[in-house]
Amino acid sequence: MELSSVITIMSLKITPYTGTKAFTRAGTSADRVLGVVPGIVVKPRSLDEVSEVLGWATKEGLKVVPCGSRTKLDRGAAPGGCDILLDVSSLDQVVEHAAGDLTVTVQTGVRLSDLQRQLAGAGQFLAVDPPVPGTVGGLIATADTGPRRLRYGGVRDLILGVTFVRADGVIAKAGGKVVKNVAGYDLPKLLTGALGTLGVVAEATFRLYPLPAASATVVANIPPNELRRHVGTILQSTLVPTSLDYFAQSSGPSTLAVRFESTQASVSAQAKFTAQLLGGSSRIVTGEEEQAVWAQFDGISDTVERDVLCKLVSTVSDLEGLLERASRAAREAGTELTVRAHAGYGHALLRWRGGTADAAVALVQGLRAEAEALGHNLIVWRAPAEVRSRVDVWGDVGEGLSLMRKVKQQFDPNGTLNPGRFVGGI
Amino acid sequence: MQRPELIAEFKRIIGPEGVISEPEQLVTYESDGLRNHRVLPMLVVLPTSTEQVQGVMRLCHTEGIPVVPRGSGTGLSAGALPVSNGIVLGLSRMRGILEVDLENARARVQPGVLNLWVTERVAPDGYYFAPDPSSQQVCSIGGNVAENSGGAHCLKYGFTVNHVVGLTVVMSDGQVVKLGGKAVDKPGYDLVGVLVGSEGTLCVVTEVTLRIVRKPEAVSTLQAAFASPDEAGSAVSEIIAAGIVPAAIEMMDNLSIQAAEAAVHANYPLDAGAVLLVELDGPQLEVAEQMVLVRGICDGSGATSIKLAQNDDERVLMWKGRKSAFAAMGRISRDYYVQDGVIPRTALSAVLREIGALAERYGLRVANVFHAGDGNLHPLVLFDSTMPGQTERAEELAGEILHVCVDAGGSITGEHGVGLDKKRHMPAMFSHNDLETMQLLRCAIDPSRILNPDKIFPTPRLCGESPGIYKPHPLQQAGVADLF
Amino acid sequence: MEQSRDKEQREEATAGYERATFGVPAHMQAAAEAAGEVSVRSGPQDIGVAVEGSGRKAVHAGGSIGAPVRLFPAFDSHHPPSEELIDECVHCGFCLPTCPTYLLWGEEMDSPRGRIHLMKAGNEGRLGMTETFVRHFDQCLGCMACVTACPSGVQYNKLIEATRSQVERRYRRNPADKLFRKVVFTLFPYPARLRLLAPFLLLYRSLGLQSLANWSGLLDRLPPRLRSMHDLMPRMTLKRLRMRVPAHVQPKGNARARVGLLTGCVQQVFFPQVNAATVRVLAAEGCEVVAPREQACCGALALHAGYEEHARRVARKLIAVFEREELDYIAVNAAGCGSTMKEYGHLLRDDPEFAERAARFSAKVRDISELLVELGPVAVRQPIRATVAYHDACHLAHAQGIRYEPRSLLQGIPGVELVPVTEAEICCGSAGIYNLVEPRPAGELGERKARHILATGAKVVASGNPGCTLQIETNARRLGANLKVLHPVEILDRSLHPRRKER
Repeated sequence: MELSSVITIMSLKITPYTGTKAFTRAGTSADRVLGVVPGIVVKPRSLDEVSEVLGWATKEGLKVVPCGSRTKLDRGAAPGGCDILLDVSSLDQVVEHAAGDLTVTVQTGVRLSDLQRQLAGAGQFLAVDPPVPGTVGGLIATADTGPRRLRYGGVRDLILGVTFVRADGVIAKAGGKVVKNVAGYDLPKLLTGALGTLGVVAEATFRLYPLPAASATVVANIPPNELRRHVGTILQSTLVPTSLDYFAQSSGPSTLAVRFESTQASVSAQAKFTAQLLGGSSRIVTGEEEQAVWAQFDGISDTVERDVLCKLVSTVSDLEGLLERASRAAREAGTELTVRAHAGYGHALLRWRGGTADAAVALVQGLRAEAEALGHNLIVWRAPAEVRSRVDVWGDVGEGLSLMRKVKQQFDPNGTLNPGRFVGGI
Repeated sequence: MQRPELIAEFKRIIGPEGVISEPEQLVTYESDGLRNHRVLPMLVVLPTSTEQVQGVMRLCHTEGIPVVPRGSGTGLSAGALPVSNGIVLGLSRMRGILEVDLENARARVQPGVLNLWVTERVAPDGYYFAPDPSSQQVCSIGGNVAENSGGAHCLKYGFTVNHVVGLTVVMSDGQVVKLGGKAVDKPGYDLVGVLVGSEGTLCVVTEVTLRIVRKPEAVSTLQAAFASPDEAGSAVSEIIAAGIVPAAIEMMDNLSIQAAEAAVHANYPLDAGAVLLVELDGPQLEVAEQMVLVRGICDGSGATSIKLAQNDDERVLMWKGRKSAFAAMGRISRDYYVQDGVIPRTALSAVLREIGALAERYGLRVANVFHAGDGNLHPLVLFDSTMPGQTERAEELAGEILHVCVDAGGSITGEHGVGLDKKRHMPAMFSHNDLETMQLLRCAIDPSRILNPDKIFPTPRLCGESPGIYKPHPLQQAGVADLF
Repeated sequence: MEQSRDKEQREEATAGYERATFGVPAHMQAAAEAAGEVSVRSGPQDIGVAVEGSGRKAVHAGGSIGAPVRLFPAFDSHHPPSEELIDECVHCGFCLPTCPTYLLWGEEMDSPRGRIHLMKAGNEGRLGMTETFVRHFDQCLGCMACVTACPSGVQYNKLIEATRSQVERRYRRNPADKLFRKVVFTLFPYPARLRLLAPFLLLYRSLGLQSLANWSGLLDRLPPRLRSMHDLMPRMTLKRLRMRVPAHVQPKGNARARVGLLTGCVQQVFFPQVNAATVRVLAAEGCEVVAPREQACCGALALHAGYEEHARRVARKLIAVFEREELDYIAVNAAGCGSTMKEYGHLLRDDPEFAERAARFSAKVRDISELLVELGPVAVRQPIRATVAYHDACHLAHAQGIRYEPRSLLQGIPGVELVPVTEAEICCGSAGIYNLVEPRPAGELGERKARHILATGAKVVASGNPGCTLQIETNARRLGANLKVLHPVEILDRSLHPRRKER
């Protein structure tokens, strides 16, 4: 059957079901999800509409890809079908900001940047700084973290409760709106980082932190083989950095940046001491200069068409060795490598630029083999199609996979949500 | 298999020393920390390794024998209450600290290791394990994992789940699975995150990789007395509003103060309506600056006395009173019932007033111990079980208090878990669909439902093949069971 | 105004901050300056607590649940463990980690909470006094660490005493067990009988019979209880055999107090040097010392084992003997005896003739360290260079709450460095006659204690109880180490009388 007639049929089918409230249109190539053009795009405006669409889709055996601001649709493997692109960006209300309780409840279509702006008005913030902008829903689905994870934990550590829609359309909630709660299974954590394969989160509650009064960053050029030693010294001291990152390019110096955010006096004292500790080239930056340093680091996720961007999940102790091997391999392959490591907790983003697809596949597989031998992971975030088609973007996720499959089987037995996009083909 | 054959079989798996079968011995396992529930288990087994746990689970799976995992038996929700036709799987003999990795700030331990042992082990190197339930000197890591235990210092540092990065678990069919590891945020579903706090209903944990935390440069503890909890409560709100995240803020009301004083002589002012303990930790300068602010706020909120711990001994003593408060209730009441509700901390005054009114209506005393920073309230309903009808009244009052918490936007449990004791209150917080959805997880992971059955959920869900599409369960068709 | 005060306080609080090192270990700071090798400590290290081979007898399977065979009810109505005291236990479990048997086996029924639960079930008529029931009380060391740990103030000491009395009065032990206990109790509480035995011990050792026994493999074939008795045999010397404390000693200088001394049974015969040192120290500190010749056993061993009637009998005698003297204090240098004598009031509470006299007696009883701290030092202490590990005897630390005094006594000696011992609150396994009747757990606990003490590196151990002294020496020897275990008062004696030749 021609694609156009499928769209027509599905549009006709969904109209009586969702009424006229949900905005529905045919998918176009601009809506592509990793090369798959959605049949239709549905933009529900309420929780009930999300429920209606999902319930209907599951009943009809249709495949659904949820999305928000579409900044991370390139994540994961290509979906094994996309009949409906479910756009929840209209669910964009901040439901309740309980400033006195340091919590916020938001609909997941809210953009993170908008949320942060609103919270800052009360001197608070959601303590996440993911490398790619987007909505709260995208944040939950990917569990992306940035430098401040060191101090505040990951998304899983900040999420308190969710209201979500199951694949069969049933609306359920779990967790709560208070910072402490152990009633029932912690489904918010299960849904965090699940890439929307278990349900569509419509509303979430997070714990917040007060915005620190002052910030300063110590920047030092260090040789790559001293990363581990410096990080070890700082982590095993009583200094409390909020970020401890490392940035290196094939050409140019490699940089360690240690950020302190606290009261003014404490920030100054800690920064000064750290500068002494790191010695030589180190300097303390604040204000715009500080912003510029971090903006440079954040630049890792600005990719051009044929770049390969990967995330390395490892530990503080293994990071230096893995990065060293990666840069040696890149040098040998003549590929330009940029590294931005959250050295304080052992994660890194790596960006390869300017090599052939063959070289990229070899680099990814080589580093992955090294990482997996240590029990770590290398995940492909962005890559040209011919690279993607030759590597599993997720790699080996370990013994838990069989359990994960069972979980998926229970929550989405028909494989409605993001089929095949997640680990192990889930 | 009949009981004698089962005993022989268990002995084969874990050796004769690990099987407890005589009534005089089993009777000591009939309750956990909550003694108003008692059930005699069929057997108790005490394995010493993951392999032995695996053997036990395989046998129980084949024979359809319910298994109740147990650590130190200090839980307060009857979460380790045995089932009469099942075994208790005690993990008290698996107490090795297997590895300490300071560079990655990790410790790998067996589940029977006591919470405090972890800190004692890493303290010489300047580290500690942050979750600090009041029972930390006796509760086990396995129990902490099952209940996602919290403690006073969770306000700043998070709960057990925030400090567990890897687990080795034995599933109900005996499958051994390693989840997570030393690294954080590994790809795939966060099974570690959801298994922590699953109260032994999904798997048996046999190894835990913990995050340990660097001891702060400075710790400062302030004890402030107030005429009433209202004033103490407003001090708490102001401290939070000032952008301070204390390591802990604890509040005790007059009855709790009296009990704690009787037990450990912590030098709390006996006439105070409420005592607040505020602890700040971190870089010395930050602590010093913020403590000045905290002091000012307490002063401004009408504190009748303020004392700053001058040394470690004084600090330990301040905490000792707080940490002994539950058990110390034995000093002022024959029996007591610990409740564990959570409220948004801003609702404190209103909720305390309501609890006071309820207590009066029931003619019982209620003492309050409160993790004020995170809204976790521990009302202790005092009663005398020898007085006819008081036990029932106390339980009823405790239940009503939970409903007050839920109505205020809170939760029925902040750290003790649901267990058997609170499952009847789950519908106050969750709808039928919510509860059914949670149980999808159980159907995925322990479809045989032999692990800690009858806990958490008021109505167990029978695991059909595909829950999305309705199919009557064979038992239901046979008229043996109701689905909901 | 307000603000300026704030500022002042803040400045005060943050003064000296320039020198802050943020906890960076010195070696790391140095390393940071001069790029050297990574010196981060890490890596696996096993401190797992051994459970396997824990020596616990296998439990017998097969009793049918719900219908225990009731030979007879657990308790009769004569002072059963008090229901009221039992109800004070709220089941919090704080006692578990301090209980030696729970530490060894991780079993609820061998924990204080479990034992109290058993008493409760016994009172409720749910259990009878069966072999298993009795066994779990027999396995209790009576160390009372649980009493220290209990936030609810449960008086486990009274509960276990009441239970043991019921057991000894009503439970029929098997003949071998009965005989062994009889031998122990025919021997130990009687200094005269022990003294008769002592020369044989001396001969056994000096003739090399011990090595012969060892070499022939005879020892390995001894039943565990006899083997334990053999191993714990004190090392006698001819000199010690002849040593006896004078009945009356005048103080140096002005008399500050008139002190009666309990010479004890085991102490008197096997550790006469401790009594001698006690007398010298007391005299040096200005005490007139009276050690009545007619005194006999205080009844501690019997009471802790459940022979309440026997204990009452000897208690009455001891009270009568000391009543003949006008005394300010009665000093005791054995922890177990002291704790029992302080409880005479409770022991004789039902005796109209003795209740009040016992209470008066108990009020005068002091552990030697307690008394010396109470009186305060007057004699000059000469320096002793020694690293000393102080061992908390349970009957001092837990039963009498005496932890500070002996430490302060030792710290008052110039040059003495006290080092802390891991698991200080855990019993060494001696526990009265426990290491004779329950040799296996006692051996494990003894070894555990010896290891912790050896780990401190101290060459001298101070212990305020003869049972602990034997137990620690024996177990250190088993580990191939030589530890000198002295009573704190012996160390003090050396500081007060440095020129005295080795005794």
